[in-house]
Amino acid sequence: MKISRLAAALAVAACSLAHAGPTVTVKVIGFNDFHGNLQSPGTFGVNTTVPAAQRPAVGGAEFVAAAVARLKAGNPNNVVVGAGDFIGASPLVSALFFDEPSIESLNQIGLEFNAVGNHEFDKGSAELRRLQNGGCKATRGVPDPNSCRGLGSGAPGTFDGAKFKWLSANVVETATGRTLLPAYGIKTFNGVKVAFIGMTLKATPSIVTPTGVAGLTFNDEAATVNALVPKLRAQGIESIVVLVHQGGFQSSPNLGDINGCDGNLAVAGGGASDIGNIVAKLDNAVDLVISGHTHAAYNCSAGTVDVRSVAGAVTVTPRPTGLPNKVGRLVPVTSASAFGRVLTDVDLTIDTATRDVVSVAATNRLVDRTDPALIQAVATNPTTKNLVDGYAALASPLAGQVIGTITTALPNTANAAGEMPAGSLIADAQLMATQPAGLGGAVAAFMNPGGVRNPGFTGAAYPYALTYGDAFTTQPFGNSLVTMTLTAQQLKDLLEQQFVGCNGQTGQRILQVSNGVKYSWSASAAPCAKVVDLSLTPTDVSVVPPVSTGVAEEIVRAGLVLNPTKTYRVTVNNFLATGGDGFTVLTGGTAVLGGAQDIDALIAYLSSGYKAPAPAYDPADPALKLPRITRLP
Amino acid sequence: MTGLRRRSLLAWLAAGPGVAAAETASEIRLRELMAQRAARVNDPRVDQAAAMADRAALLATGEAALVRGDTDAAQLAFERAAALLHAADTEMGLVRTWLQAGEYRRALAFCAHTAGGHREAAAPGALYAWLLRLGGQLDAGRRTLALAQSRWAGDAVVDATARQLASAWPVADGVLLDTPHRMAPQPTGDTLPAGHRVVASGVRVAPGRVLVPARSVAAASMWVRDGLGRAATATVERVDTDLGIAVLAAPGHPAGLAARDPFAGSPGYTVAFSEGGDAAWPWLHAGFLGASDRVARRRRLGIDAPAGAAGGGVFNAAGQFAGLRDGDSWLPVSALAPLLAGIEPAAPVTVRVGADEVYENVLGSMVQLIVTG
Repeated sequence: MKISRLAAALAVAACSLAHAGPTVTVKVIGFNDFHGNLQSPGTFGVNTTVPAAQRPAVGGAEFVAAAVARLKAGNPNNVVVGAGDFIGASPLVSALFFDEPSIESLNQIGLEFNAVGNHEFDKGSAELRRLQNGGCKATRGVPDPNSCRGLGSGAPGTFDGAKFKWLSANVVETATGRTLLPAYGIKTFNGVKVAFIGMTLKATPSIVTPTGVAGLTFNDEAATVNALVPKLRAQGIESIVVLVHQGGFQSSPNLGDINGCDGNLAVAGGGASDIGNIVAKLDNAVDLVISGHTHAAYNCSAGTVDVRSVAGAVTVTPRPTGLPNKVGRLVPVTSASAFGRVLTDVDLTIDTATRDVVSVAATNRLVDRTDPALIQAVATNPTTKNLVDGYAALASPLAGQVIGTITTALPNTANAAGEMPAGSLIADAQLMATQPAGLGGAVAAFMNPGGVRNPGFTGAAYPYALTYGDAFTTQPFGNSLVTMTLTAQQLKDLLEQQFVGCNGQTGQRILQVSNGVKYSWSASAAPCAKVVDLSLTPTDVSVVPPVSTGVAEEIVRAGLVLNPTKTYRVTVNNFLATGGDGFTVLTGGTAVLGGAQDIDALIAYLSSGYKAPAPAYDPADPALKLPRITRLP
Repeated sequence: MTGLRRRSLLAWLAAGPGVAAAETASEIRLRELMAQRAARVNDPRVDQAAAMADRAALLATGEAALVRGDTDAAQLAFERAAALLHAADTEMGLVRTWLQAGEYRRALAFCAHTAGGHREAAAPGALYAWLLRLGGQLDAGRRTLALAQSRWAGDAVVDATARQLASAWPVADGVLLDTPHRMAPQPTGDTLPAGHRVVASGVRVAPGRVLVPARSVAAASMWVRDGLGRAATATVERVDTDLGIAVLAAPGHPAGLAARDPFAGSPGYTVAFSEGGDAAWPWLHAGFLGASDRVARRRRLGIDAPAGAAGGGVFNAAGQFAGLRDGDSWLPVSALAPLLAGIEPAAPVTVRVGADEVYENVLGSMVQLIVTG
């Protein structure tokens, strides 16, 4: 902003009053010190008069995303920026995965430019570059299992890196003299370029681990900005925003409202704050400073308010202000608390002819989790919530717990008959969970092949101790078990409906069957006439090894159902029970009883029978009666 | 610095400036060292004597509020202190304030930040490791503690934390009870006589109704103290000798009651206090609930939780009270039905919540059974 010294004493608001040319308004959405707070950091009040019980829950990545989306919806000319410390010193849900969940969440939030803060250097510059560029974390040359979970990246096993640009104007590689990361970013609105210069506090080396900043030089903040100004102007840029990871605190007896600038951030005794000292040296071309580091909320701008409490009555008095730059002009300076509690909503009005900022309107807004509109927005678009929930599940103390041991790989690949090693195990687990009379009294279980996800149950070496995380990967859908009564004819019809062309079936879907069920099918037979024979041997799968508790009963012989009206209690999952995968015959079951979740049944089966010190699950054990399905010509 | 000297210093701080005249020369030197250590931060305001005096007073006010159980006042004091200096002691005060108010998740998340952002101090890492372990994050707690040990070998707080966390049932004692890192709630409510001891864990299942192991209730005088530190007198209402469960009358907030027994293999949690010590936070262990052990009414615990504590609650995947632990088995709500008569169950499980949320939900309903003699 070019403005004479004579005008310096005027408030920022006066600029807009004096201007009459064509303008474009740019919505700048700023925040700082997110520190990987993907989940709500708790409650927060707009100022210190708000009693703890009346402070709303705030933050959480999904609500930050919704709040940002709402602000962006009001103006297509928008940009989302940060003032550093978005990672590091973060809760377990982010830290356990090397802060990759935070990066993926911030990508979804739509962050575009972010200054580096001191905590971006906690793990060193090489790790910061990895987070910027993507790729998996290796520990001593070995891929770390907690990296590249990829819940918010292109695919499992990948990490896309930050889609936003980290900026480090004052961080220079000592050896090359180049900045570690770009010094600034530019975004164009209606043909007008706006520059965002990003940097951390010069004192960063004194507050992080020395190895984290080895080989780097941290230069003076204001001098760095001032040196860039001519370069930006040479590109036709007059609108300049500084994102700096340095800040101050409100300090007068007011209430420290999130839109206050109490004491103009002066420290006790009247000295300027750290951020005040930087702004005081800034070139007059800088139009807005978005700051951070102190975790404080303040708004030193045309939107400043003094909030006081007198005899219990709260008064709000506007006091347009800013912090003086090197020519004495008051520059808007903001900070949005920390942890995603607050967003700074800034409208930059830019003269399209001069390309310079003519007014700045800034307001700090709580990211209020009780806001009905935001609640609705999260419900409508749960993408970020799902991401966070997914990482929370992976960070759970349950995730790494061993549930059983297997002697060999049990993949989800089917043999010629359609039988999967993983599918047979799952069907047995579902039978065990529903075999007791009070839980369904099932005699057989059928599992849809599509519900046995890749890769099945496999490990790096055998015997392999399966974890809950492994099981969840293979059975991620949270289906519940349903036990129902089917007739012998319906059992035959169910098996026939596995094949294309029978009763509307569009693909071949061979159900996985539990111990005691045996059948054969003919590949060359016509649709609805493929099942050659079917038998059922009552089997107690709750003991190891499983034992037959009765003689084998023929249900189908040479394609004929021997006793069509005889009934059996059969377990499937709720997806199949409602006709999923085209198995409409299951919607005709009777005496339907709901049960446990499928993964619970799997865990109960493995942990009760095949968890050390018990012998491992061995598909070669004759008691498992594998294979159970035979394909005939 | 010895724990005794530190405690005397902190007692001085808690008492406020009014007792400054009683300081000895060594205490003054000690205070200066403490101030240097507490404020070993790159915050230039540390040199502003008046502001630092205000800060010390606010910290003392916050601690005194916690001793009274007034977490709102404590939060306000610590927040004001935080505006005067960015320092670990203030943040640990906030962490403990939120935990004493029952906000485990908030405390845990903020403590992660304190531990990561205040590497100039040893105690935040130790406190974070303790909090992680409370909520069942055994591996993460171990890693956090190892990091603190690597940075602060020989530190009294870190070493004491390591010793306790190496045991199956850690107890906060000695230096671990010092502020600002105190690894236990402040005891509030009824004042307990000398010689009292924690003998078992129980669960408040309805307002005024607590279930505890019957074998632990022989003493004439009993109290229960919840995970927020609040103690109250308890009296025996009835004893079910078949189940081995006693019902006590004692005030407080109950856990939500599961509408049915959880399925075998479903995620579950057992929560119990260490025996011994005083006011404490309970320990959560996560796992998968076992099936019936073919003994009437009982089920296998399933969860890998250490032996050695009497009683304890078992909670389902939604954090609802699902039964009482008894060694390596547990009594589900169906077996406890005679003792739960008249209590409206919570809505059936539809959403599975994280272990941290379970811990937060049950913190105020888990109780220590305390006896004398």
